[in-house]
Amino acid sequence: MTKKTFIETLKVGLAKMNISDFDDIIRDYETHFANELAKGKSEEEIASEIGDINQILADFAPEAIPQKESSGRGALFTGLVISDFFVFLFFVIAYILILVPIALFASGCALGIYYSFGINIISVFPIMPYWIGLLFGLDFFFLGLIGLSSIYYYARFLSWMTRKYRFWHQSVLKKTEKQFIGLEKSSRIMNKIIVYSSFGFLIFAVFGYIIAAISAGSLEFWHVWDWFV
Amino acid sequence: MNIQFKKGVLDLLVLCMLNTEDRYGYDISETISRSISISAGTIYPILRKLKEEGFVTTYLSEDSNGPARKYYRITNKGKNELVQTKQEWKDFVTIVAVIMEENEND
Repeated sequence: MTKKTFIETLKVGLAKMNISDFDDIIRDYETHFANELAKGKSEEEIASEIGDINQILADFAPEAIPQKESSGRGALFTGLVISDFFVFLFFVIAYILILVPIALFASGCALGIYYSFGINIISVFPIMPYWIGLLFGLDFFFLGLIGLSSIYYYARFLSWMTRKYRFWHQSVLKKTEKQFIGLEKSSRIMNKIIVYSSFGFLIFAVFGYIIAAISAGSLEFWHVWDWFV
Repeated sequence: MNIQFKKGVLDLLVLCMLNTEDRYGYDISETISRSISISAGTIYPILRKLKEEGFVTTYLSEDSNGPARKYYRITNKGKNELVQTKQEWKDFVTIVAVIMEENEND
């Protein structure tokens, strides 16, 4: 193929694809030929080195070239802002809710200390014999542990949701591929803590009730100890 | 070298070269094909694509001998893209290396 045939074929092909400024493209190939000819190569040689002309035309096809940012992007942006607003509110609430397991942990520990050590100074809390208080105190410690592991699980869930939203946000904005954000494996220690503390909580609750009922001589021992007077 | 490897990285290489200085198409094509075997026409569609995306602009410059040359210059948008793509490429290479190493040890 001579230089002339090559350039002509390219022109016709580009014009067919409705590329109006094909001169701009042609110029690069003209320069290419000029430089290679100066090296002493033949036109045929140069044309064959450039590569398959159909492949070149395919590379210039509009669908091979991403179009300039369209008006659709404005709508996308507005949509993102609106979704960000609601998602932000959702996240605020979701983050505040972590106070629930924290409160469970704190109150479990506090009541555990209160009853295990037989402090009995705050009149609002029911008074009970020390040994039964110890049983219930330990029960509260287990409740605290359940609270502690709940903090861990909930925080993990929050961080996962946050990452997932952030990546979704990025992929929409940059039109990149969606990325799979998995939830990483939870810590084995935490898994053990939640299982054992749940068992401990149940066992001590039942055990505490039985002992209290025997000691008070009534299944409704709270009446015997005048809790709700 | 695997053609798919090359295709993914040519945009990055072109932007890298233009970040140092303005160059004309033939110059870019020549420089790259000295180290990576590509057919001579490969670079021009890429330059066109980068221009369409607003990462480079062109201007004509009279040369002492021969016709006016079309020079390519990187835009600010192109510079941002370069920073980002460079990092993506580095991360990508690191991940590939890690996975390959893990499997070699088995």
